[in-house]
Amino acid sequence: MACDNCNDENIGKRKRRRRGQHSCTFESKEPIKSGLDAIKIALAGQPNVGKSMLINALSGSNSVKVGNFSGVTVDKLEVCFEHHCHQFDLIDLPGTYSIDGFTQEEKVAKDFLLNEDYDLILNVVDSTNLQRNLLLTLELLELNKKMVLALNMSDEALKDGINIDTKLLEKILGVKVIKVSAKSGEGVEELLEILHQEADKENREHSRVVFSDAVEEELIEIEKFLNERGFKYNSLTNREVAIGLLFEDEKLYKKLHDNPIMIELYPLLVDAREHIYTHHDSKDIKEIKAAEHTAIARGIAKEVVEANSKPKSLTFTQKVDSILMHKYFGIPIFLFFMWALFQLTFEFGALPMDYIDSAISSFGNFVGSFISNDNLRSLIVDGIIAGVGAVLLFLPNIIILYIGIALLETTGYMSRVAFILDGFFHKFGLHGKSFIPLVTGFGCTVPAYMAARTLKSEKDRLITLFILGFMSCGARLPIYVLFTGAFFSDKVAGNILFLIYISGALLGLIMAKVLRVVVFRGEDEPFVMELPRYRLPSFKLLWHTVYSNAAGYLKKAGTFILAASMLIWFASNYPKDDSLVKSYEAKIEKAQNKEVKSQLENELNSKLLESSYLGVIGKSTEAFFSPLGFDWRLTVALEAGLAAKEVVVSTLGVLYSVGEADESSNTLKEILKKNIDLATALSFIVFVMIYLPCMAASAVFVKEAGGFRYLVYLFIFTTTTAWVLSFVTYNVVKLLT
Amino acid sequence: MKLSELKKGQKAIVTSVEGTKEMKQRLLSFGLTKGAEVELIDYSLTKSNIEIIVDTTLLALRKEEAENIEVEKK
Repeated sequence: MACDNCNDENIGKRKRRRRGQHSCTFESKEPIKSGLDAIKIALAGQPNVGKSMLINALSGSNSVKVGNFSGVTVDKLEVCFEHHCHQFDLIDLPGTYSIDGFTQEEKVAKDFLLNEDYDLILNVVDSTNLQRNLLLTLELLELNKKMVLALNMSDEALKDGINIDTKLLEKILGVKVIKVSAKSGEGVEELLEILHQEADKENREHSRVVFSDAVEEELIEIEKFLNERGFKYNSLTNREVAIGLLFEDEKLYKKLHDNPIMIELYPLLVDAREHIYTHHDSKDIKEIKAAEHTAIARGIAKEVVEANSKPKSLTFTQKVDSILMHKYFGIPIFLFFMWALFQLTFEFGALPMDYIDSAISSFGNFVGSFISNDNLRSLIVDGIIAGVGAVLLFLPNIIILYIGIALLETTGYMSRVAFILDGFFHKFGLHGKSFIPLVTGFGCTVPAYMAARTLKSEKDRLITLFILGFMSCGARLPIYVLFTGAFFSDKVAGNILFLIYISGALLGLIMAKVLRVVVFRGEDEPFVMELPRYRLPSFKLLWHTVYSNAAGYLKKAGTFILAASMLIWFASNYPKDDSLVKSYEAKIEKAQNKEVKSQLENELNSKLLESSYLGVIGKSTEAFFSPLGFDWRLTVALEAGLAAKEVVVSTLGVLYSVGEADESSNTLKEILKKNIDLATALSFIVFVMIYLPCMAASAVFVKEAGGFRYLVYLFIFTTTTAWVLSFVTYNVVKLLT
Repeated sequence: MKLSELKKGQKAIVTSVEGTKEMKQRLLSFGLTKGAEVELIDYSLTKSNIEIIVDTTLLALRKEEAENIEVEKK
């Protein structure tokens, strides 16, 4: 049961950071890992109860992503940490409303809870929504595992005038109950203690939940029979066995199947069922169980919750909803938010850009002046600094975009938009919920592909996966900013940016319709969705999300992009045609004036580039792209972009700085403006907007769609669409200008 | 009457939930069962979706789903 994700160094660090003063005897010496088994805890709860945030609070680490809509934790997530010399191994399961869920992520939770080995369940519930949360709690209780109930958001409940009698709740459920607030940290330490104690206990507490009279009658009957026969199954009490048998616990039936006692039990169970069927006027035992649970939850809530009428947070949420979800203003408000986001991305992102840009080029010149070897200098200045610098330039834009998306995700607004747009989306053969992965796709396509798992219908999911690439990810942003910045004034550039994203989204919708009609026909998924209460994310949470994304971007710039820049530099400098260089050098020497000299230098440089490896590759595929107005440089940049979209900009940076002999225009923007026309630029933007996302996203796509062949379809689908639309754009703009 | 036929602001008690097994299961997990009290909060622009409140949970449904839920006006 050791936990592989923990490494000794981290345990030490975390411990010191969080609980510097506690009295671990071997604090500074050997790590705690040796010889100790971790307590393995399955963290279960409904969506939007703050599970991930609680993990953050418990572990003191910031490794979990938290969001206020279902689908943030799409796969189970493991977090390890140490507390009072005990190692904890938390498995964060995706939020599920019920164990018998149907979405893929709900199945992940179910599979884990039923089949994996763990010490106890930590059931997290939202104190402001206890009754509904108890429905899952009751199901979890029937798993007959050790369990602790954490009443999260207890501070919010208090503000809402809700008071929960934990002692009474403990008595009714038979498990430990504790109030916590992941946000303020209240009760977190105590919860850890309780988890520790419960895990160490020899025996499990037994649930004391009482069903309706009809069911209780039958349960007592079955239990009595089992007792009389001296029946005993594992650690279960005979009442627990009776509950499992009566409500068709498949796993229990499989286990008891060969037990001789079953022969006598069957008639008893048939009678019991009949009785319950008549009582409930239904023959669906699952439905009956759910109805029983609902009644129990209602009863418990009535007993333990003391509340003054309507919770304040609910009233507030409904007030805000009356504006944000307004019949007529809802959609315009949403569009305004999106527009504002892209305006901010461009406007504020552009502020530090000139500084960064000039800092990078003067840094390049500065470094270059120390290196005497021509080749080495070219590698470092024109290759590494130009390539990585071109990507670094866009960090401010990326940060703003991520703040915006994080706000959308964490406040609960996203589900509202799903509601507002469902009617519209449905017409295009999409599900309102598709909106969530689609917006995530504006940040990064990889998590977006995974977020599509919230969709239950396989067809809805595949359509969403296929059109997700049309939502331009953050890595494509630098390309757009570069080109719009070069060809449009600052005033309209933000609008153009918004237009690019919106037209990508619209194109996605149209393509969804096409796919729905042509390829994926059939039933669509019902739309039933919770609209969680509005919650402002804590600054810490926001900071964490943005920080980790920005750090990821920088890391990529320092590793992958760095390597790619060096490769591109090499491929654009070699092989060197010495005879060509010599013949030009002779010509240059003979040249009479400066103008002729620089003209000859330019000629030499571009000839050298053309004969380089990269030039050869670009030239050989240029024919395919030339109808779109792309020269071999743009062609190479696009091809390199298949690896990662950041590489497009860094490739352009290297290609144009190598081929550029004119010292007066240093920035890539200016160089681009000189080298290509508006039609080409727009055509290039369109192509980038549509063609295949990066290698990482493609790999995830294969996994999520369920086969490599889907990637082939996606490649053909996107490339064809990109080519055709770029061709149209190029020719239309050519005609107009 | 059907849940989809309620007017804005009307409250009702659920009398039965029909539909496919999955659909029923989904609704049940939100506490939308016989005897639950619901209130219709609002319709979307095209009336294709409705927003209701069950207990203290705000729920969004499509009209087709709401047609599967029988209610009795309070």
